[in-house]
Amino acid sequence: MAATETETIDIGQLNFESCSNECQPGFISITADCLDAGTCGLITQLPENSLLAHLGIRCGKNLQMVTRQRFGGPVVVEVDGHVIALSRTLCQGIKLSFACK
Amino acid sequence: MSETILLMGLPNVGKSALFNRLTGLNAQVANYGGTTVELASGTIALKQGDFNLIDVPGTYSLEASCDAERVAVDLLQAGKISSKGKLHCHSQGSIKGELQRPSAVLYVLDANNLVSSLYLLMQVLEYNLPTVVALNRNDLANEKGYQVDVKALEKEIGVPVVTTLAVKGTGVEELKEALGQISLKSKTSKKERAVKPPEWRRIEDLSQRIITRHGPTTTNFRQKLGGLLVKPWPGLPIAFLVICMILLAVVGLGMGLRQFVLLPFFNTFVFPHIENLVSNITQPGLLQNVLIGNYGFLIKGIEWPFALVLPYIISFYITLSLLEDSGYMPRLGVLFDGLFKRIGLQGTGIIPLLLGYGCAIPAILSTRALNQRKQRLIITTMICLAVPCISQTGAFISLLAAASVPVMIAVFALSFFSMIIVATIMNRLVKGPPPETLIEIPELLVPRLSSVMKKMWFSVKQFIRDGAFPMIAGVAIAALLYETGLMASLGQLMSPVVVGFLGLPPEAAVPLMLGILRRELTVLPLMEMDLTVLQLFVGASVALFYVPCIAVIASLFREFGFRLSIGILLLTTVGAFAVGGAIYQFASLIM
Repeated sequence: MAATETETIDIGQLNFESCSNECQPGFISITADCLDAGTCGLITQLPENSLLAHLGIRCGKNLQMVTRQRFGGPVVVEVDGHVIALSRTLCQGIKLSFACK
Repeated sequence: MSETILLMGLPNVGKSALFNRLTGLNAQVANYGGTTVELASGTIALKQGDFNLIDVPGTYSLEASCDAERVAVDLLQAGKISSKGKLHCHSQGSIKGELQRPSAVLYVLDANNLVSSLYLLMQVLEYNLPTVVALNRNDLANEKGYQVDVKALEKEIGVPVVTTLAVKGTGVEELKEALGQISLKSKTSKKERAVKPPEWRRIEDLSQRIITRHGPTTTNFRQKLGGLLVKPWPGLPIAFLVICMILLAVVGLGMGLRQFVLLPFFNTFVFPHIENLVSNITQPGLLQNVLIGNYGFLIKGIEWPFALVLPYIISFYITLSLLEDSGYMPRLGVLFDGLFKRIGLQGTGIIPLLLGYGCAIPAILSTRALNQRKQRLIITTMICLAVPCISQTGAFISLLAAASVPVMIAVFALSFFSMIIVATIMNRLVKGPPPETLIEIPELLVPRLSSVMKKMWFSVKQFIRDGAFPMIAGVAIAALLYETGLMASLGQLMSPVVVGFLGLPPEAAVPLMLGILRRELTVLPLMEMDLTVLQLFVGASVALFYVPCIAVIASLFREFGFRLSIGILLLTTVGAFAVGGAIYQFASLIM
C-alpha cells in the first residue's frame, strides 16, 4: 500500500513530497522532515549522532514538529516537553511511524 | 592544597548558580548550555573544614566523546587533565596541572530534564565517590504536571538528595549540611576504566518510579511565549524588534546616564575642585598641564573612563544579562541559523558575537562551546577585526553622536558588512565540515532583577579593575607626550601615513599608539582634535579595525597559539590602515 493512498491518517495533514515512505499494513513510515507543524509521530529509527539520545530524541518517543525555520534554517521539534532545533539533514535521518485507522 | 568536591551535571541545569551560592564567587551564569567553558574553583566551608569546589562544565555523558567529557572523566579519575587546549583552569582556584582525587561529587540533577540527568548520574555513581544530589528546577517540573519524590529517589540511588532552587539560593544550607554528613573519604575508584553507558530503557523506568504526577500538563503564558518566539512568525519580526530595542536601550540608557547624571556630576562636583586644588598647589607649567591641561591626566583620566565609557558598560550589561537570563539568545540563534549558514556559521554563533560587543575576551572564550574549530576561528576573527567592544562603542558614540549621526551609523554599518565579508572569505579559506545544528532550546524564564543587577555590578567592577586603570595610564602617557612636545615629534615621524595616507592631523599618531593598550584609546583622543566629518569617519574606521588590546592578544595566544595571534595582529593593523586610507583617498578623489 503506498503512503499517498492512505487517507485515514489521524494526525494532521502530511506533506509527502520528497519523502521515501514505506507503509507496513496498519502503519505508515516517513522521515521527520516531512511532518507538518503541529503533527507528530513515533520515532522508529535515528541517524548516527550521540547527542540525539541525550536531548530526548530516542526510539519509541513521540516527536512533534513545532516549526521549520526560514532561509533553510533548522527545524524545531518537541519531544517529552523539550524543544530541540536540529538541522534538516539530521531531521531527514529520523524515521517516524504512524498508526493508520 | 585543600581537598576537592566536583560540581557536576548536564549543561544548563544551574550548576554555576549553585556554585556561586556555595562559594560566594561570581562564575558566569546564563540560561543556555555551554556557559561554563572554564573550570572555576572556589572554597566551600563544610563541617569537616574548607573544600575546593570545582564547577565542571556540563556534559551529557562520561563517554569521553568530546573535550568537556574527557575533562570530566579526568577529574573523576583524579589524574592530570589530559585534554589540553579546550578547557582551562580558572585563575581563582588551585586546580592547575596535577589534581588530587576528589573527595566527593555534588551532582545537580535537573528535575525538568530527568531522564538525561539520571543517565549521567548513573555514570557518575559508577566512580564510587561519596555523592550528594542537588535536585534542582523542581519548580519547572511542577509546571509540567509532575514532581520528583525525593525519598523514592534516595531509595533508588542510595545517596542523599536535597531539593534546591539554585537561582534563589533555596536549599543551599541543607546541601552544605548533607555534604557535611557524608564521609568525604573516597572509596576505591574505577580508575582508567571506561564507564559502561546505562541503558536508556532502564533509566526511563527509574524516572517513572520516582515521579508523582499531580495533574495534566498545563501551558502557562511564559511557555506559550517561549514557543511563539522560536517560530518564524511571529518570532522573526519580534527578533528584529528586540534587536532594535537592545540598540535603543544600550545607546539611550548610556547617553542618558552620561548626559544627565555622570557628566553633570563630574563637571559640577569633581573637576572644579580638582582644578582648584591643582592650581593652588602647583605653578603653571609642565606639571600643572600634565595634571589638568588639554590631556589633563586628572581630568581626562577620570572623564573618559567614568563619564564617557562607564555609562555604556552599565547599559550594555543590563541588556545582555536580560537576554542571557531569559533564554532568548538561543532562540535568536535558531531564528537566524539559516542566514548564518550562508556565511559558514551556525546560528548559536550569535552568542559569542553578542558577547563580543561587551568585551572580546569572554566572547573568544565562549567560542569553546562551538563544537568546530572552523567556527571558532571565523567568529574569533570577526570579533577581533570588526566587533567594537562596549568601551569602544561608548567612545564612538561620544565622538560621533554630537558631531555627525550619519557618520556614526556609517561606522556601525561598516562593522556589520565587514563581519559578513570576513566570515564569507574565511568560510572559503578554512577547511572544515559545514556546521550542523543540534541544540536544546531552554525554557523561557523571567530574568531575576537581583541577578541582572549582580551581573552588571560585577561587569562594572571588572571594567574598573581591568579597563579603567589601563585607560588612566594611557591618558597619563598622552598627557606627558602632549606636554613635552613628543606628541608633535611622533606625529611628524608618522606623518606620511597619518597625514598623507589617512588625511588625519599629525597628533592622531598618538591614539594609534595608545590603542594597543585599550581599543577605546584609539577613539577618545580624537575628540580633542577638532576633526572634519571626513576625518571623523576615517579616524573612527581606523579605530574600528585597529589591533585588539593587549589582553585580547594574550587571550588569542592562549586559545589558538602564536600563529593566529600574529595573523590577527597583522590583519587588524593592515586592515585598519587599508580601510581608513581607502576611504580618505576615495573621498579626496570625489570631493
